[in-house]
Amino acid sequence: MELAWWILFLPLAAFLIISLVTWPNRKLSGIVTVTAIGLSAVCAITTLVRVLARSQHEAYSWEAVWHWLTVGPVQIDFGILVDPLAAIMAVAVTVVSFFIQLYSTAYMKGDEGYSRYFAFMALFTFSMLGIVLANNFLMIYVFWELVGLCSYLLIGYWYFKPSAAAAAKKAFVVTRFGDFGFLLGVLLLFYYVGGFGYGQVMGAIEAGSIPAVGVTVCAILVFCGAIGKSAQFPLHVWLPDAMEGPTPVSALIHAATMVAAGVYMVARTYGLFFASEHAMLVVAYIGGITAFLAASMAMAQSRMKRIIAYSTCSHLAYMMMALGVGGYTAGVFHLIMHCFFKALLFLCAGSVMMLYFHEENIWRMGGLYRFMKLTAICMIIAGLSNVGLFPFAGFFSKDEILVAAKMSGHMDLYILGTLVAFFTAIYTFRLIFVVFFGPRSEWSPVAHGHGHDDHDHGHHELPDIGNPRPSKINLSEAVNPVERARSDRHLGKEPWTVAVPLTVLAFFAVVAGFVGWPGLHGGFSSYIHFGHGEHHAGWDMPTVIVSHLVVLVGIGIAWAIYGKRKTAADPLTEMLGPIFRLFERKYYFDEIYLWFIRKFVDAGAAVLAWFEENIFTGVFANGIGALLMETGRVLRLFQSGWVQRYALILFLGMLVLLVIVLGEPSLTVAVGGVIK
Amino acid sequence: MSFPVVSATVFAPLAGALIISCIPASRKEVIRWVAAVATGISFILSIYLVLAYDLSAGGVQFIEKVDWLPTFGIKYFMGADGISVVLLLLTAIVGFTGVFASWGIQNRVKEYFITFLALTFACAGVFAAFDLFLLFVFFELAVLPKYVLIAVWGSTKKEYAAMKLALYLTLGGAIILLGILCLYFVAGLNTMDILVLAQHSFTHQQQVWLFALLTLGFAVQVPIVPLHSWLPDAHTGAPTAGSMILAGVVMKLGAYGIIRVALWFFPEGAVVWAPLIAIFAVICVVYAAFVAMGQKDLKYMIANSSISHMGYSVLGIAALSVASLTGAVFQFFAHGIMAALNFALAGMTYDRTHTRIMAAMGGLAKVMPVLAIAFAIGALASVGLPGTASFWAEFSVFVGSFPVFPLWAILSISGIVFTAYYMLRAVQRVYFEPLKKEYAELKDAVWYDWVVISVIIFFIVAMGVYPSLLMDLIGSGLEPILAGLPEAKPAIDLGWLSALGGVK
Repeated sequence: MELAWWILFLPLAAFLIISLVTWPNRKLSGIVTVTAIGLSAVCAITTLVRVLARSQHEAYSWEAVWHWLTVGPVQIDFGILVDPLAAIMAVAVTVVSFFIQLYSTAYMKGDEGYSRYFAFMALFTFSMLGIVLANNFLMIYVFWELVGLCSYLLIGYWYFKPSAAAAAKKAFVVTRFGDFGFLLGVLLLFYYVGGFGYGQVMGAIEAGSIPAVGVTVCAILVFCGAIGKSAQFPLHVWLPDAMEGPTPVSALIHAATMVAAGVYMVARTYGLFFASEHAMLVVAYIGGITAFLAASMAMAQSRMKRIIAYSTCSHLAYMMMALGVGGYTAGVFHLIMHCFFKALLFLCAGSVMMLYFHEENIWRMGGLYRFMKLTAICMIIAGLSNVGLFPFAGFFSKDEILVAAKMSGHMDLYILGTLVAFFTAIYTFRLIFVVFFGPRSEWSPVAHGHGHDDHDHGHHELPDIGNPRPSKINLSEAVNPVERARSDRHLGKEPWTVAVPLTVLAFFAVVAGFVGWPGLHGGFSSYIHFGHGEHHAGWDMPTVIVSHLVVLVGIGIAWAIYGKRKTAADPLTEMLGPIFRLFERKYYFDEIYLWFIRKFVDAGAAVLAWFEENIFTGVFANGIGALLMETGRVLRLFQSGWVQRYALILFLGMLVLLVIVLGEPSLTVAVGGVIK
Repeated sequence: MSFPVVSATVFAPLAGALIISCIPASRKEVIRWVAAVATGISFILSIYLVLAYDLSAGGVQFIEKVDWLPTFGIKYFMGADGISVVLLLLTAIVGFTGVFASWGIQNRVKEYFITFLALTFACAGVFAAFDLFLLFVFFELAVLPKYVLIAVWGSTKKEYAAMKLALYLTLGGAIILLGILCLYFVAGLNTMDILVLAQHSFTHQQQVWLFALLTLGFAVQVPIVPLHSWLPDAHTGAPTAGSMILAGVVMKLGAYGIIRVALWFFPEGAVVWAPLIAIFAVICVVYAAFVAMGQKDLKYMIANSSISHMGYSVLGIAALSVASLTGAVFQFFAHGIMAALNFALAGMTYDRTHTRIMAAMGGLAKVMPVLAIAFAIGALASVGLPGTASFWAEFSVFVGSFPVFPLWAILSISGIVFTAYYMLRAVQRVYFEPLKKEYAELKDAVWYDWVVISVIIFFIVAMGVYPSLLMDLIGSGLEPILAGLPEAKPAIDLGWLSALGGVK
């Protein structure tokens, strides 16, 4: 099990090697990261196999602890914990990350920051593995922040784009907001327990040494961190902006790291949540609300990556909902399955963009199927998995979530979940139909001056298209057929570094779900479960049938609307009217938050800065100075050097003394004494 | 008597200053190298002190004691305990890198380095003095070079800034002197020996009022809002290395004084005043963070953020728990090197763009990637990111003060969000976004910039990964100081939240 250290430290080693040694050599830097993460994946798989072998009959876990720091009574350890949950997550992270790195070698080709990119990617993987393998709350917090750092660095990778620079900052600050709660939760837990270890905390909860309110408060505070990182309502706003990073980064953030961290953390510290009914309700309903919001927003976006981003948000919310209603196995299962098919979706999107002039507005595409069959097929597989149709991976896990919601008696969440499945079918196939089928858009990259040529000069995705209103692009930008043909000829073919990751991930997206086959010996749930009580009944046929019907109807609607479209406009805009606008504008969350920040935070800062400059410095500090100066000026009058004035003052003083002395007999004695 | 290593650490910069005074002013390169060697010796010796300090023995080590004014019981008493060792290292790092940050200065180079070295010497002396009078002498010695540095080599309102600093610090010094004289006569031991005075039991009344007096005097230097008005002007007006040492070391003198003198001698007084100090600490953290957020000038922003960060130290001191005080002292170190880095980079950026207004810069990462990375690391250290020394400092303060003052701790912790907001915004405005045309020709770090950046970043990261090296030292230094404090059993009451419900 000491192998677990290697899982963690190989990516770190890659980061150090690149940033200290190989950074001048781009190609070598890429190889270092790919190799290190590949080896890390091998270690993770080996570990998983060993863990599975040992946890056949009993709960198995292995811990190793290094003493890190003592601050007075506070003992801080650097420890790793390997159990079935950590092992399977480590495999998902390293395997997915490996394929993303391999893919990146093609995607980032020619970028001037190539070495920097691979250094950060290695650091990102390391940080995420730290979260996965951590054995205490402080350590998970430490790596949690490092993941935040890496996302900042990678989202802002093209720092010279204003939108990327802003998005990076937004992602960091918004998630930091959640981390504020997380940190408070950790501190409160330490106050109650006197330690950070998961074991210590769970022991204290079981022993009842934390008051009931305390457990609830701690759980909710810790959950704040998960809300931030997993982009749950109301801190989901950073996620779509985070698409400013290179597409493989989006894939990594969305599939294996960062957003998965929140869900994983709730699963990892499930005992804390399970002990508090109210905390569980919070988790479940935050999940339910986010799932709905995100899915509805996904239906109205026109940038490929944003659609997938909201899809991620919605799926994570599914997982939260599952965990909240007690469906521990279902939530974790979906987390793992989601890793594979979401990474695939992103990599397919990236492949489309790579071959299609780094364009990501779906209304500028259409009919691309015949140019990029492999990408299209993989994307369709990922899509089918995303909507959860049998026998794709998404089916097994999503179905379990719906069953869990239903069984727990939260019928409202079950209905919400089914509705979200319907939306998912619509937006997923909207994307697929618009991009790969139907007529080609009249838009041509050649006519827009960023054709094939700037492909290799490190300015990918540079054209900033904002969030264009699709209807305006329609046909108005007609190009001459010769140029059009030229642009079509530019459409290349996927290189092997792209084809291999796509194929392998597609394979997983098809078959991975079968580990959850109820008939299989024990299946997934016999390894990943919380406590002993969780009932696993297998498939609930009514749920399966309902969700399939809903999904098929959704796909049908998507086909009806988009499959046979003639124009490059979204017919849904007309159909839904203002509701579509609401979805498209993301319920105006950004506007509301910005308004709040401008009105309160920035304005408060401006007011205090003014106060500091004018009142504090101006009135107090300078005022005291002025007062001293003034006193000095008055006192100077007494030293004018004019003998007459001194004489006058002397005379007046004598007069005053005389009056006092004559009026007060006791003073006369005293003054007499002095004079004598 | 063995080699007086502490005195050598402290006096090396002064020796350098004396040598420089004998070198003709035209030999600029020689002068710079003498300054570098002098601070370099100090740097090496302070590392030796950190490694040679015997943790298992504890207490004050490397003692050097010579009678000075025997009539008043005043000695030349130098030494180092765990806290001193750490802060001597801090001073040496900032002094050493400060010399290289000043490499580009062309105006009155000789006088500049003499002043700078004198300041470094005086600051180091404060941390090594174990005679109260000697400590005060060093403390006051530091004021003059600061004044000269700002008034001669400064910028923007330099005379005003220098005078304001001198007035504030002299006023603080006067209060401290009053406090020292009072405690000297009240104790009536005819000694200024800190170790002896610390053992003396003052009455409760004496403790309460002397603590208040001394803390007030030292608070000017920390500075605690509302006594901070000198700082933003002084830090902004000072030349780069001046800002580095002001933010990196001088601010710590005050807080060090509070711990070394006020807290150690008068623990009962500390207990009485702690709740009030905690409130001021929160005001420091939050108020200064907001003021920093509202700044347009890069240096003003960093200066205000320094006040905010020292607020964490003050909170740590007020909470009077082992963890929080350890964190407070660690924050001296962590913030010291980080603020030095921030100011150094602000200076390097200014030297190239000739503006400090953030909105006027932009995209500089394209032409100066090394400075961009260093700037980002400085900003992230300021944000308190794990992997930097600041994280452990802030975390220890939080973990120690949270049970004692839950509400104040929560408000202070909210500072981590505000800091992230303005620091990353600064990174975005200055180094990210498209490059402005007029900056297309700027040069990246030159060799002496590299020295500054790499030395400081090394310590930021090394102490972020392996904090126990200094934490253990600080812990041992605090042991005797904490021994006088009463046991406290803080309790957090969440009863008012009981509507949230309970355990299943």
